[in-house]
Amino acid sequence: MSLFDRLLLVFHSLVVAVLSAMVTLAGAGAASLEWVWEAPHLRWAVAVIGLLLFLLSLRLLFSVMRRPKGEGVDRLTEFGYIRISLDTLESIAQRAARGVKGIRDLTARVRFSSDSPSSVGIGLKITVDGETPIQLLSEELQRTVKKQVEEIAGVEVNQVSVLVKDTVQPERSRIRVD
Amino acid sequence: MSKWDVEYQSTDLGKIEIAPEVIQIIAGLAAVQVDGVAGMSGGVVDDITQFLGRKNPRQGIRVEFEEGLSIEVAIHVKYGSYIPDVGKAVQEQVKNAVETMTGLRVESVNVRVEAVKFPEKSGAVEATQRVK
Repeated sequence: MSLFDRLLLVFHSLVVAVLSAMVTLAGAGAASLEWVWEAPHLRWAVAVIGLLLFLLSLRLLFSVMRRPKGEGVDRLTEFGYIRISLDTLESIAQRAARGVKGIRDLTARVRFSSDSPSSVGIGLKITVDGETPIQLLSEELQRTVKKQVEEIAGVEVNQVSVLVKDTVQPERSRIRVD
Repeated sequence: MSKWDVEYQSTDLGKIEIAPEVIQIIAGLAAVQVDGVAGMSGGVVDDITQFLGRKNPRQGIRVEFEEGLSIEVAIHVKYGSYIPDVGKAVQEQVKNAVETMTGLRVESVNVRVEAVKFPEKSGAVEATQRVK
């Protein structure tokens, strides 16, 4: 789950928590919700919040149900086919990047290569730590990811593109007061 | 599962019909015991049911009977294993188990590797169904 989706989830959960607490209290008779219906401008606010929550829920649902099942690289054997999903390849690519120094965060996207249906192209969006030279680490990343995917999944990797989308902000050096 | 004509064997006394659910369970148990298989793959709902502690022995298996018996097995593979070998082993084990136990001929076993499971907790539910 991407960082953004995780933030959405936190926000969504907070709103749901507050709402369910209110509804529980109302149901138990400890508080009433009538004041919500009475004030007209409050009703607008409630409607807007409800709509936002609804859209948020849909968005979260989509991020959970990723791509339709069945998208993968096939390998034919005597008993049938073995299909490795693109999601699996992305997990492998992501794990492979862990070993590369200087990478803070990474998302991987695997697509079928335009040349042949049995090889893939991998797109990597990374956030770097700002200290390691980017050219070197990108090249190492490309090599590592390609090697891991080919070794673990047996799927040919045609291309590994790296996009450095961000860098970590350097920490402010602390001022010592003696 | 819709009712369709299952493979059956005729003996002098009558028919022996085998329900598709039985094939699912046999295939599922065989697949899960293969070295390198972390578990069967289900959707979001299956992940939740698993989290709640109920195991579904038929999860991840689709049985089709178009031109012969075809079984589709959706699995999660343990990180570190060479995936094509695990897939091949699953195909062999499932075919073997179903043919031995039911006497039916298995036309094909198709394996779908839906995810890789890493040893540390990664947020997703770790699916390990070990049947003793």
